[in-house]
Amino acid sequence: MKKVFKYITIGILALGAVSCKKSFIDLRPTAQFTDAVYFRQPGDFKTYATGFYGQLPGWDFGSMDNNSDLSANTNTNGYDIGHGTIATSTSANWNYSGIRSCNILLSKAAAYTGSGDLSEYVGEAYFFRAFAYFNLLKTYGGVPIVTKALDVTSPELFAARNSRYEVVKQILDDLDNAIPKLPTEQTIPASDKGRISKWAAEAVKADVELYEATWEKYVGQEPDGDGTTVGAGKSGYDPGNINKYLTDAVALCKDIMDNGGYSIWNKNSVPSMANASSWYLFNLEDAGSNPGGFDKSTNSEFILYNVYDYTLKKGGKNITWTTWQLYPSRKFVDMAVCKDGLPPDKSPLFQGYHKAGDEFKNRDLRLINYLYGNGAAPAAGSVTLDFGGLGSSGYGNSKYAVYGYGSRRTDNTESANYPIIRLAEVYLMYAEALVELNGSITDAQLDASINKLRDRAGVAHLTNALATANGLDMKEEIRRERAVELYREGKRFDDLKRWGILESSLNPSRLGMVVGGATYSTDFKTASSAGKDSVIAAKYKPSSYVFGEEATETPAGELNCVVVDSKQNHSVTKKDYLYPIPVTQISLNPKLLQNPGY
Amino acid sequence: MLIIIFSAFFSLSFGQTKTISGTVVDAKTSTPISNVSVIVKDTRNGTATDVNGKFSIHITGQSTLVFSNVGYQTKEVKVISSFMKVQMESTSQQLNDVVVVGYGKQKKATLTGAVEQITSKTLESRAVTNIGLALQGETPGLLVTRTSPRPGNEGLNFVIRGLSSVNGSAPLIIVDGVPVLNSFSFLNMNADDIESVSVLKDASAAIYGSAAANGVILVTTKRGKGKTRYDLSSNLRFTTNGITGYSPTMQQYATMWLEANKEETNPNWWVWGNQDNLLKMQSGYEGSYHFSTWPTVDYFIFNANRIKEMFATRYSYQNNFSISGSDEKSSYRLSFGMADNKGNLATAYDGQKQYNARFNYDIKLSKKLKLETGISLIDAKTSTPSAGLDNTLYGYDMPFFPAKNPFGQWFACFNGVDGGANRNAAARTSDGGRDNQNSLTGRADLKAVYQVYKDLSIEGLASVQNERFNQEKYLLAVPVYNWYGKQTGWAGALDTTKTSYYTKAWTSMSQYYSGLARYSKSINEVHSISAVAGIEAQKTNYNWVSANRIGFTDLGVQNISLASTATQTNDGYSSQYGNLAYFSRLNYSYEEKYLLELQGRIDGSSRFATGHKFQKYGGASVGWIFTKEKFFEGISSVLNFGKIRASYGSSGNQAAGLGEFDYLSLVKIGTTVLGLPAALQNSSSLVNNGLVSYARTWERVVQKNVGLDLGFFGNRLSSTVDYFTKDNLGMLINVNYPSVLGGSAPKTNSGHFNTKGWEATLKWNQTQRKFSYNIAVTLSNTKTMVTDVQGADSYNPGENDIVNGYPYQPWFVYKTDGYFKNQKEVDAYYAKYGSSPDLAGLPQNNIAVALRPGDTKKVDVAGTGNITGSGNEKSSLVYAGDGTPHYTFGINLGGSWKGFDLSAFFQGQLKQLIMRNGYMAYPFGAIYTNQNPSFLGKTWTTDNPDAIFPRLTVNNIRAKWNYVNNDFMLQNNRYIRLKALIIGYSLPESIIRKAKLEKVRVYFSGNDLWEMVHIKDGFDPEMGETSQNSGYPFARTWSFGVNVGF
Repeated sequence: MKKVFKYITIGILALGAVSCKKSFIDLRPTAQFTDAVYFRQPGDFKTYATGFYGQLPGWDFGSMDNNSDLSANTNTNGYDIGHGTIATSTSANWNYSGIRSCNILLSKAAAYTGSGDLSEYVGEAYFFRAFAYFNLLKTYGGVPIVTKALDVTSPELFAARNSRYEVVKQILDDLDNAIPKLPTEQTIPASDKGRISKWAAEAVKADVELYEATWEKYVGQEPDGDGTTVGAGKSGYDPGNINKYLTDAVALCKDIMDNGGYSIWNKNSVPSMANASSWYLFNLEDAGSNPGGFDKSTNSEFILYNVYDYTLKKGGKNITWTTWQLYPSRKFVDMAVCKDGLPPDKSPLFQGYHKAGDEFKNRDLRLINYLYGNGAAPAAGSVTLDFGGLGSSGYGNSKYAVYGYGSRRTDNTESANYPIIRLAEVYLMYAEALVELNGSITDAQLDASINKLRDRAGVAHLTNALATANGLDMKEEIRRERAVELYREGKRFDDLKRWGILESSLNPSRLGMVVGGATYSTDFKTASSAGKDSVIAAKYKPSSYVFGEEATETPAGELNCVVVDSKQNHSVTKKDYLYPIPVTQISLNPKLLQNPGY
Repeated sequence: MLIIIFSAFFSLSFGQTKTISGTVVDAKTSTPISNVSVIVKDTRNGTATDVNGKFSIHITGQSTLVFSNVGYQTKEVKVISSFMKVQMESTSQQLNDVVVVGYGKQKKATLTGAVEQITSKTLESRAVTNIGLALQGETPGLLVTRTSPRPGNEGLNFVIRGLSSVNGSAPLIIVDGVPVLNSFSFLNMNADDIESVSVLKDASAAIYGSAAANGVILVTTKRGKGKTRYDLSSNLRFTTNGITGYSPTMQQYATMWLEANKEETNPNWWVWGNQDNLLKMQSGYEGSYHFSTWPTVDYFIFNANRIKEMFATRYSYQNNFSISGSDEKSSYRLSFGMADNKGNLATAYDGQKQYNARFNYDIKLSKKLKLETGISLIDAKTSTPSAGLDNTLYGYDMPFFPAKNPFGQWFACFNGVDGGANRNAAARTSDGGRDNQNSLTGRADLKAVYQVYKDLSIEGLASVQNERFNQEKYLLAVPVYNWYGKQTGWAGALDTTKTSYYTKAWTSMSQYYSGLARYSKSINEVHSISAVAGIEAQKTNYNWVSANRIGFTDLGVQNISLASTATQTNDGYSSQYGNLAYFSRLNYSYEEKYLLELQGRIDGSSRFATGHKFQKYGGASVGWIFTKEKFFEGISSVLNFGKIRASYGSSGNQAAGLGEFDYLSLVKIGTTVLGLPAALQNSSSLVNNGLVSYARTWERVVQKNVGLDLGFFGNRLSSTVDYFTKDNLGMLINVNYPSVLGGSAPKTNSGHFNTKGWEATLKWNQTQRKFSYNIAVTLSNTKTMVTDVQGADSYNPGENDIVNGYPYQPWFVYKTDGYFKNQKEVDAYYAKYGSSPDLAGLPQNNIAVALRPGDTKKVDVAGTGNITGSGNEKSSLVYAGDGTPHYTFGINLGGSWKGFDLSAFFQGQLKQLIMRNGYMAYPFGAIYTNQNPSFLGKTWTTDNPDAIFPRLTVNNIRAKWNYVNNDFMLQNNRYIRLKALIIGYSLPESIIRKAKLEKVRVYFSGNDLWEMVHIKDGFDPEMGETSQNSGYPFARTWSFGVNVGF
């Protein structure tokens, strides 16, 4: 017996001594693939490309044009660009991780020897790479172009910036590669809706071309720097590109309009929708999200969008509560046209400001929809001007908010799809590119595009006759249409830049409601023949507005308005057209030259 | 089965029996020795001495008694009378203790490393919920911190001799020779099962190689000894709320608002609407209010003390029972423990129930072969509310809303006037669902020791540990109501559509094998050599699966099968890691005077690529017992022992954590929502975006230590002083590459973390026949320094993690020069610094935010004309010290007189810089939060221009300027706390003998009963900087216990 135990002991010891390396330290992962065994079939590429969709922008208060000229509140998003206080330390979004992911797929696809068709996923990789470079272009101008997955020893890590013209070429090349590989919307199966279609890639390409053409036309080459002491330089600049881009943008938009199968989501013919299509479109969820019982399947207006779902992917932002406080500025309210299609300063239908709500009479439905949802404009005497904690302009805001019909979504659970490019924008691009290209646009072209937006807005068509009769500038009217339609959709700052009007638009004060004065009575002040005004204390707390009042030119003449954000705090200059390269990046790679002015 | 084994130990005795009693004392000091094993030679009959060194044993006929005890030479005495007085010689002439070290035991006297041992006595009678808390402050150099008072969720953290890395500095924990599966398999051990805890602090740990850099905690469990003995102990605890001074009353809260708006250019009354409402509040009016925001709503406010509503005295208990004994051939100890530890939450159960069982059984199979076995089970069930113990408890909402309305329904915070305001922490903790976690850890050890010949033995150990962990967490919707009984919503906005049920099952299994050989040889009592060499291997596998369903109707039965299948998701994972090591140690001593130790280890890990798997570690130490030199003989009556030690070694830091397969480019599978209707699609990406590293390895820490041990007056006074440095030369650091790389490159071994420190212990023991007492004081400090970390040269205002050239967690604060005395000073300041980045948000022409007299005046330290917190030497920030604890100390007082024993243990620190962070850090950081009343009366006003704090403001931008990260906001969290107070009484033998008992002791044991703190903002000193956001109060424990031995 004792012997037996002796052997057992020796056995244990022997086991310990020879415990072979293999079973203890030569181990393999038990629940993860290595990339050596992955990418062996088209399905792997599809799954990997599905990961790209996290790069799409989604619900974010940072992309709601806060602090633009159309916004008057103290929301801090966009403060620096809105006020011209961008510091060099700002490290906005110098991010290449998405580009690297695309480069990995492209290199794996190039090395792929298996069967099956990868083209759709390769197309997605090209699309997302172009999309990422477009964002970098809009933020910084020229950036280093990287088209392969780098290693920590790659010399490309320390390369200089490419010029914006080279970056644009790269973006357009990628999109040209993507477009023929991507499926049309019509062929994307229901289970894959939300994936990039050929039309989405064309829309982005048109967007890039219109952006670049107008930038080169109105901003010029000043922000490029010389490329040797400052900026990314002018390498690859070709003045002939402007018309080339515009021509192509028109053709792409036309292709989408004719063949994309999209349509404007106009449910104004349904009485219960209360003419509020422009509101319900942006909070469209299930059939309970609007009185007409429309759900997301009825929306064929969104071309490029981020899919959300109440069960699977909630917005995760307190959208309703916060957007209520994103008050619009006086400028925006005065921008929307009257029912006759004329701007308020030209329209006999405009009712002035004597009573709160007067200015909303006979106006563009979008103004009501975006500010008050399906509700009515404020009634006379219903508004109190009190700066409060959030800088009230006196107007409300409703775009994106979910309220009023049924019960409000609980905070942070709003789950409408997030629009990135919708058909409305394609119409607007089409019209703008035509006017930029030809200096004119035909009534037929207007009817095929932006007048469909005017139909939903319940205002008269824009025609050449209307413009001529009323001394309207067609280009300005199309820009106005764009500003109103795409209100708070994250396009405004880029539009102001590419039109070259960033400084003139952002430096004036952000104003709120008209309070009138000695000769113009309102809900807030009584006029008197003695030339003195008196505040109606119950409706207006002047002391709460720290910047007081400012006289401004309105459709009803020069009138005093409350100041929400004073021009004293705005100092936008030419340098603000581009963000500064993050200083951390320059210290890691001194070849990166800072943008001019920083 | 067990019973059969036990019955084998109860031997029948024959012949005439008589009873022998006696006392065992130390030959030198004449002090009684407890726990000496007394065995009748060649039998299994045995007993052990009690605390007074007394024993009594039945013998048959002519007998010889064998006396043995750790640290003493075994002695055989022939029985010649019925009363015996036995003197035992200590094995070492000076320090008798034997200390458990890595892969063996060593005499404390000839130890060359810095090793501290805590014995079972320290753990006895401590009314703590786990081992970790009992070790708090007990030994210099081991810092135990906790972040919460909640049983099972204490957030305990062990650090030996200061941090050694920014990536983690947790020590290696080894129980009975085997690394534990996870920290809970140590923390949840039954303290009653532990014989000793050794802390290896310096290069003496290097034999553990890649896991030794942060020191090693070695736990040894009790084994049977002496005659069969039954021990029963029981302990009943009451926990009461500790420091809760962070609660404002309605009056205090209103006063804060009134005082702040009084100072304000643009008064802002938030939802309270106007001054009148707050005056009403200040007067203490409880009842209906009307606010302009909701003019038609009756709005109810009451002085609700949420802490009192939600936390109250709770009671906990612990019961232990053990049987132990031994004879010449075998020994056994079987123990059971049962405990229910509760946090002070009064609205629902918040605690941990624990069951422990352990069976240690040793048997000598032959003269040469001995088997040691051990089986243990730990069953720990933690159950807490699944919601409500977050910032909604305290930091977020002011305590104006009683838990219930007059109808006994849960009352909505802010009367539920808006959808977002339906909060009620009491409701959610009570009815909002439970989070139940159940961990069952089993372990079985088999160790064989074979004495090849006198000087050489070999041993093999195989051990298996297995943990099964289950979690079930469900969230229920709790309706909340307004004062009139109308439902306004759901607590925490968790309506019935968002209720959920989550469950997770985790299994991990670790197998450990070692084989080693020991050799020891003494030549002429001059040269003594001992050596150990071995091999060990360990492999751990784990896997888990989880499932989740959203949408759950609560009809009183909770199970995942009752929740909606429409939203079900599941997940899972598994992985494995292992190591294989060869190690050896050699000890040499010359006349037990000159000491040398060498150790080395080759450590292989599965976490590295082939060709990079093995790393070498090792160390050397020397010692000189100078009192053994001839020239010291003259003063040996004063200085009886003196030793100088020095050690040097390198080891690895596994706590820094490397991924299990970082050297492979792995594919990560996730999900993305696409489709109409939307559905989840699999998506994938490459881990680290495809960037991998082959070359990196464990952080390598070089440790140096010098120490001096002294004993005076026959060791009545003893002291130990150590000075040490730890140099982490390969700290894993993210190297920043230009972002065009498109991913974060894996960390590389390029950082440098240096720790310097010292620790000192002074002990005094006085033992007399009836009265003895002892005092021990320990004090230690460490200082860290981080260098060579790329991209870590700049800093931000506040506490940073890494800044090159500074200690870890350095504070950079704005230097301030009091407060603006008048408008002239303000104007001059704006004229000079108006264009500073920090003032961009506070333009002078915006009177709502512009600085005023009484606001903080930050100093342009660098003289650049800018006030800026953007971090470099040109900023307005100054270095103010670091955030780690300094000068941590423990004071142990003990005494006994007749049957009474008393011990008091104080623990604390002299320096730790903290700044409150979170909802109640400073007044009006946000207007919608609760306010800390401790600022009242201490802020600048025209009548109080010399106040500690600046002028109050309701404007959050100005408040931020005035308070956040300014030098005067830094507090020294210095404190001393009575960690433990134990008063015991052992019944006289005359009484217990009659009851046929061995020992009866009753005691009172208290924890955290008293403290002296330096921070004045009403929080507990052990509470973290941000934990006031939830406000779970720390508890004081009052317990009563009884130990019975028979």
